[in-house]
Amino acid sequence: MQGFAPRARRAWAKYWFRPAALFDIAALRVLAVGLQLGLLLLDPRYNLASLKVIAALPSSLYWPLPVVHLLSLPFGGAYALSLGTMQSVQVVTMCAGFLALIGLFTNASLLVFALGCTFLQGWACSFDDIHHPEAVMMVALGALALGPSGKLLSVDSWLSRKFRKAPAVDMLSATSPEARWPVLLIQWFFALMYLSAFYAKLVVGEGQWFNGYSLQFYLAVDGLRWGSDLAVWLAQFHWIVFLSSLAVFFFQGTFFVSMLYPRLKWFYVPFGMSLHVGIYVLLRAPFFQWAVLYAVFVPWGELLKQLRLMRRGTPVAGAFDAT
Amino acid sequence: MPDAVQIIRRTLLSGFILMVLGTQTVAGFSHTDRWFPFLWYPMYAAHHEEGERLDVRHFLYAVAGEGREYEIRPEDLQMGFWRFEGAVINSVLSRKIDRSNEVIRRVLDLHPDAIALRVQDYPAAITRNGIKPLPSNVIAVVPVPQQGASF
Repeated sequence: MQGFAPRARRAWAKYWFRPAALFDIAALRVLAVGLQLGLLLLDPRYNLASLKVIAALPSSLYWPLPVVHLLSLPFGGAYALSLGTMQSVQVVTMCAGFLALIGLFTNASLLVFALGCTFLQGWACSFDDIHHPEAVMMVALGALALGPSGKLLSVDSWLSRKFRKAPAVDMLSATSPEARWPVLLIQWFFALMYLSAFYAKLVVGEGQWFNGYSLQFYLAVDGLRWGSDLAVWLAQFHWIVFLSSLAVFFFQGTFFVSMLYPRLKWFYVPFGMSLHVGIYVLLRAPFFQWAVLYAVFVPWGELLKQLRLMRRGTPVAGAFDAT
Repeated sequence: MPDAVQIIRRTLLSGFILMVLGTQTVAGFSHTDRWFPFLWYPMYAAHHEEGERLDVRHFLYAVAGEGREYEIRPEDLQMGFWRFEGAVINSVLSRKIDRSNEVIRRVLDLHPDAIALRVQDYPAAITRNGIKPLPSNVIAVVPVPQQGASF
């Protein structure tokens, strides 16, 4: 009879390090880096000008997060950070992001990009204002930096073929044993975030969050605060809002089950995507990072293979493996 | 058979996976957001009841003599909404408005003739049928300490 440890090790390796499509992780890299770079360049909450606004805040608001203490060590510590330092960090981060997007020195540039984004965001959050859309993006960039996300859709792969005479591969069929774990890790991270939100509704909401009035309240508050007429209008329908509360509560509390039974993702993933789009449309809460990172649930390689086969008139039944 | 480099690499990656998921699991139930990027997610989690006043925003006024008063908005202090509510409004509501408080000093610098700061709530509540308008209530009036005076 085999011992528990070897069996557990094999099961662990089979779960996290089974060969998976390289295209999925490469597509995720392009989407995630593309969004994050776009936010750093264009969004007034994250761009270079925002650093000036943050640096001008009263120093009494500044309480550096542990991650800022850690990442600021090369710059003399969290209390030695100047506007010039942070602007330099942002410029370097954006350059690294551009390289990561096109896939040049992909792993190194992605690692710099992930650390830079975490540093910048952590510094902004250290001024008494922590929000929730950004964290999963930092973790996702870190995971992608450690995986083979530059093996396809990248300048690296083009250079490798051109100069090292690496054989051309069918992009949609290429696999790697290390292409699976970053995807699964980000998926599990979503499950844990939802579970935390579910738990908070039980504890902070004192078990009464789903009474209908809570969600009516939030629709009314955010509708009035951010100018969403649709939310204000919806806030008058108690029963619809009550049922929506139950649906959200159920979704957040049980999302992790879809990680154990992947076929359930056919229900949970469209529901979750609709939820985040709905939250943005109604409450104007900009969870863009979550919405784009939902791409982690899409088997892009299989999807495109199916489309290719359909164009040829021979779709493969049951080809989607929801990981 | 995996070679030694691959075994070491897989072990390190496994450690990373465990660290990320383990930290998020703990953070997710720990009621703290200090461990960024590992957080707990209490967004929209508080429960509310019928008739509860909507906390869309607070209104802050600097009250000067002879009936003069000035509304102070987040943009007057180059602050976003959340920092304004968290730092400025909370300071006034907790009556911490001495000039050693840098946030309050900026407020008072805008209106040096202010003799008090007043906070009012939002004029509406939630009902079963939607939003019900209400009069705005004064929820705090805090005298401004004179220069050099201490609380």
